[in-house]
Amino acid sequence: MTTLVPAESTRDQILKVVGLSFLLPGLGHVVAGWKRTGLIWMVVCQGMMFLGLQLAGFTQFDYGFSWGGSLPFEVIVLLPESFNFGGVLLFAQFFDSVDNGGVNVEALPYRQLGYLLSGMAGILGILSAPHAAGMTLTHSEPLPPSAKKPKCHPGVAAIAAMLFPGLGHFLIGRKFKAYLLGGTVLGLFVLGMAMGHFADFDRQRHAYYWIGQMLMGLPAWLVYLPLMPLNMGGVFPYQDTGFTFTSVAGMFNVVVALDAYHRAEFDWLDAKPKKEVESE
Amino acid sequence: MSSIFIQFFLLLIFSLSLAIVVSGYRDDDPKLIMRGIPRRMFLFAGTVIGMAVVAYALGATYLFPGA
Repeated sequence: MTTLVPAESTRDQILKVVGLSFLLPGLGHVVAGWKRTGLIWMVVCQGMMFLGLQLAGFTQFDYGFSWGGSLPFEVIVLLPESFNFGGVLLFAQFFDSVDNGGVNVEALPYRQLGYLLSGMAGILGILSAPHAAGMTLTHSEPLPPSAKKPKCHPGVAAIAAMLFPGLGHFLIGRKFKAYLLGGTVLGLFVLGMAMGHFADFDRQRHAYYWIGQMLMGLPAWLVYLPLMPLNMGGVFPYQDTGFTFTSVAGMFNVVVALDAYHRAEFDWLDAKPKKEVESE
Repeated sequence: MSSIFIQFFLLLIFSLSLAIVVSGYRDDDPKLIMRGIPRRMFLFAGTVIGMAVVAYALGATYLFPGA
């Protein structure tokens, strides 16, 4: 099978913008010259992160790991928030969990909304990386006017796929894969939720599974708060399998999003005159 | 109380989902994707069942308290 790959200079540029986007969402765009787009990513991701942390009294930090060590600042790793690495690092320097000050987390009425917002900010933060990579590809390797332009660039395909399973493939015209992969991921998630009586999606009770569950994108984010009133009143026979299904469904969604990115990248390179493209 | 048959059924569902995602990632042609699914599904399910059998045999013999 022939795989089309971007030119080496483009790959180097993509590596740079992806690394910078991981450090601070939007930074990759700014350094590459798309200042306005980069600033929008920064404001949205950091604004949402701060609002989420504030609403939950910064108790998200209680779920993470911190290293002081010999560094002059504290490094906190907290998933999924740390996908927005710079934002978490910055806020951790100035704020501490109210739990350490003796406030009971149950007394914070909007903590679950805060968890949701900060988790979304982390996932949106990492999505700035494929967006910057896609923009780099399309600007570094533009298509001639005569070429048939793909429906969307790889970054948009990856973001769409992460936000709703299968949507990325749908946008790039691979409807069979969209229905198959999207249906599989969504089906696994819903089945897992049903096995936990729809009460197994809660950060306070299952913080580690919650990381994977949040990777499901909008289908999970939209049901998180409405499902909060449901309580696990007992031990269900297949609840552990349900946790696994829902969490792994989110991880599968990441694989599906990566595939959407690469197929869209292939389409872009395939539309170029062949002599300009490297192949492996 | 869980049932071994339902556990087996759930393993097959999980293996099918995994096989679909892996086949979809590996291939782009719908025919190739569909062809790869059963092989990957039974490979994964078979591996898990094999490890479960080994774990059960060790638990019942060598690792059994007092053995």
